[in-house]
Amino acid sequence: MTEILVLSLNHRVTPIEARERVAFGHDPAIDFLQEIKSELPVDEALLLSTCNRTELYASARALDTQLAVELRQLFERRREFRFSDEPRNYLEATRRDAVQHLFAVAGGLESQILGESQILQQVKEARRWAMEAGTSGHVLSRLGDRALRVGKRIRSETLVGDGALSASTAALELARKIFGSLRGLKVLVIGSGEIAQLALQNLEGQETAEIMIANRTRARAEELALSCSGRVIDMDALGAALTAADVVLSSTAAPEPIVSFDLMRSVRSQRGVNPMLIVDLALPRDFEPACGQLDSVFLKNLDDLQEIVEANRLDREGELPLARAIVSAECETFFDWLHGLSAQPTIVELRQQFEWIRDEEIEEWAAQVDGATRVTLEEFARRLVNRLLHLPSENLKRHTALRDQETRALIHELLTREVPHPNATDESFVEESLLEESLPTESLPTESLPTEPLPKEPLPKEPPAE
Amino acid sequence: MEILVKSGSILLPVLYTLTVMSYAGVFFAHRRGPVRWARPALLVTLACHLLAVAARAVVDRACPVSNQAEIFSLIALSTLVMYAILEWRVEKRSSTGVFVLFMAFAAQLVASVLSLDPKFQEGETLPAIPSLHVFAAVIGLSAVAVASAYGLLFLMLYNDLKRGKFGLFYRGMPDLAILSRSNYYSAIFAFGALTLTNAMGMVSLVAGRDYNLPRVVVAAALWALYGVAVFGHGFFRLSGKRLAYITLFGFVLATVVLVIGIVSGGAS
Repeated sequence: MTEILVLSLNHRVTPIEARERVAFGHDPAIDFLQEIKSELPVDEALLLSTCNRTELYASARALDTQLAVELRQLFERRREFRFSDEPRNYLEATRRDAVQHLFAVAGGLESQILGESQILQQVKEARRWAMEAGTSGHVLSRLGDRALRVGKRIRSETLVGDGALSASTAALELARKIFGSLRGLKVLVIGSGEIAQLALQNLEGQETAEIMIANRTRARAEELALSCSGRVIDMDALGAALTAADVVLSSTAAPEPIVSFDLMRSVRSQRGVNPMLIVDLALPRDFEPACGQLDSVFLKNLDDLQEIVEANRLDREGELPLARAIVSAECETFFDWLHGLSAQPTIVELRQQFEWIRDEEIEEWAAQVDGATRVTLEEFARRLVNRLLHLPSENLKRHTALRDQETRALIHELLTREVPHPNATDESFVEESLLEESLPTESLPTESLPTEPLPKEPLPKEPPAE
Repeated sequence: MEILVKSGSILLPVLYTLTVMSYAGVFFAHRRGPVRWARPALLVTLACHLLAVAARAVVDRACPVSNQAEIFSLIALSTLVMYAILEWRVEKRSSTGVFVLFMAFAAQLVASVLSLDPKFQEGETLPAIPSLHVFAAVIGLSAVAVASAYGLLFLMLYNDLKRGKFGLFYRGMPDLAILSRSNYYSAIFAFGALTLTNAMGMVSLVAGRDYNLPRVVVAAALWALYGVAVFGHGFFRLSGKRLAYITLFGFVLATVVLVIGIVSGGAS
């Protein structure tokens, strides 16, 4: 059966300096994948490379420690990196552990920010690279598909990906909690520091009605305004801008509050009943705390946002068992499919035998019937064979006993090879008898099947040897 | 038909319990899974209750508002219908269901308990106009209850946001805008039903039917209050917070109307 191995250099075990060296872009990744396929006894290979992890997935018919060693050596030759066991700076997993690892990665469970969703795009990209490199086959392609499915399931069925985990996204979460959405709102950003830039990045695509930027250095405000199609406001006109704004994000480096309670009271009286969210991200604060006492004015500071972030983080962590259960269930489904693959040669051979017999019989009868009857006969025989083979094929795929190599070989032999019958003198007699028996069995309980084959004329020709 | 009517009084509280439990799961478990159960539970309960009310109307050949058991059951049904409409058109998240539907559950429980006692099953079959008056009053009072529930939820979330309390309630509730819209729409519904109630009441008065003056006065005050709420919010920028306070005060008046009704000899 096909085995799967993963070699992972990730943020949990690999220091950032090392992760920098092993990160792959598009072209080096394609080259590396092709090199793996050509130099090592692997059937398929897939490379996932993000800022937090570089992971190599390989599938092979025979998995031994030597293959893992050779993979590591190949990796070391490609990148200035040494795998070390003391302390261990990589993760290596095989079979179920490897599959579970990829599913957990796709679900964002192994990410630095629990539940982040960018990883799904990166898994998609890894699949694309493997396809371009020609190293993606049945198994890893399916594995990639299932990983994406797991990622989507975890995000739709659990809250692992819900809730803001940074101050700037928490500010937007607050805005949504008050206004429903940011669509059509006027946003005023005061200051042009890093936090203001982050906030503006998060506002992208939110369909806000207008973004106003106020900053002491006008040139800096204009630069920011260009990046977000915003409008620059003079600090002198701050009162008017506050009156117009629904959401205010403030993060100046001013040593004193820039908005007094009196100014806000006047703004409030001009605005009327419309609610207003002020997120004061500055330290020291830009708004006098008393501003928050005004009706319909929600003034929040960094501590408030931190509380939201912390609650969201706990929420996400609380969902981990549910997400892990999805990973386990999907892992089972994947392995059922993988085990089913091992029955494929038996199924194909069995089908070929049945189809050979079907064609022989049709040929024998064809001379005695007209064209239209022959078409009907062919259709009948085709459907009959399909129906007869459907259940055994499905059972072969599903049967857990097939996970055992010996049982698999035995079943293969029983179903597809000529087995000498104790009472038979002719091998084809046995085969023909078994075929005959298979016809009425669908409606009979297994116990009532005749134990001895019914005598019948042997087939005119032997089936072709496989 | 009789079997439908009788089994309804036992089955309905069970269905309401299951529905409220499903919605509690949505709110408290804070997970997406229970949403799948909550909506089907709501629809099944709604369908069964409509069937039971229809069966009752067919059996009695009259609008089922002739005794207290029927009136409480109708309060439960109209609350359920109103919530279903609001969830479908406004909220979409099912997270306020546990609060609103609990009132419906309580009303149905009272109805089922009263229906066990033959004393509460007796009542006069009213002519068309008084029937319509009672029917509209029941729907109006249910809408007042729903509006006040949304008003209360709005104020609780508003205060949590103001004070920076980001606990279970903050995470479980929809946004303030949705709560305010639900509050407003249910107030409109209440105002419409109360207008019809008062109009039918006036017709009954003109026809010489008995009336209870204090109840008429309080009912008129309730109607005027909801008028102020609806037109104030719709046309004169009355804030969501004030709307919430008005609808809550309306609930107090509605309770007074009910109490006067019961004390003076019948919920109607």
